[in-house]
Amino acid sequence: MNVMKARFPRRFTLAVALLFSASIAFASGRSQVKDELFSGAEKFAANAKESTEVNLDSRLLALAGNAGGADKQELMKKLDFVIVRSYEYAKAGDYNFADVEEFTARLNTGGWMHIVKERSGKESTDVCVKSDGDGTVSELVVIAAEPKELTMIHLKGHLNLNDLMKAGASYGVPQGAIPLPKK
Amino acid sequence: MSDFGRDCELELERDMKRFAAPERFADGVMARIAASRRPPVQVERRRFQWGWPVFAMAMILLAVAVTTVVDHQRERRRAEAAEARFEAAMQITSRTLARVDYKVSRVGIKPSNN
Repeated sequence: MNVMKARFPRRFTLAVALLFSASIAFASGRSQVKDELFSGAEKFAANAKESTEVNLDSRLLALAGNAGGADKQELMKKLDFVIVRSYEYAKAGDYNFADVEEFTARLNTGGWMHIVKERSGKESTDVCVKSDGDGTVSELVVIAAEPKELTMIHLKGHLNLNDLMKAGASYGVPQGAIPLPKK
Repeated sequence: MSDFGRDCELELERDMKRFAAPERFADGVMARIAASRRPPVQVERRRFQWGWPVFAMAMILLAVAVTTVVDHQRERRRAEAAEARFEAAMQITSRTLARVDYKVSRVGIKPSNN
């Protein structure tokens, strides 16, 4: 009897510990999506006056999708992840423009289709997509480098660019801002 | 009655005559009975103790309830944060695409398929 009494609290403690461990493991199992295209982009934040880094995976997008308008909810449902890196600098030369080429070069492989590729002095613009071939875009990458601003965007999902334009209109995306690829 | 019969009767009467027990005889007998008696068997009753299981279940239910509430609140905060980040991401995207649009229209680039 005494032995039983002595053991039970230990079992109980073990059960509670397991319960909490399981809940902690469940909570910590949620990880952010990793993007190899922008891997190493953190260095651009070093001298930035302002930096914005957004990393939303499908689970977070689903969470966020509970709010907002119907167009936004529809867009969030279609997206697998959204990765945005935006850096603003106080003066030109605060980031190494040559480093941007390292990232744009990654778009030369991997089946990316360049829609816009523009170079002028210390400015560059790259807009690339991966298409599913049925008019839907599976991925969109924008890398826009200016002397005092650098923006890198990577969207992945199953979306029609018209959907993006429609939803983006509420954010001020100009109609025709994304040149639609020919089918 | 014959003499033999009378003798027998007298002898019988003598033998059956009640006489007092030796002094402390009863005490001695009782002492021997007490000495030979076995100690009473202790029957251990194994009654199920409800205290700990009920307490354990209550604590587990409490832990589950607290975890659920905390998790729900955390999820709500994460949802709000995710929504705010999505808004920020879309604004940056729209702004960037507007600039791309401006550049493309400025330099007169026609979109290419490669």
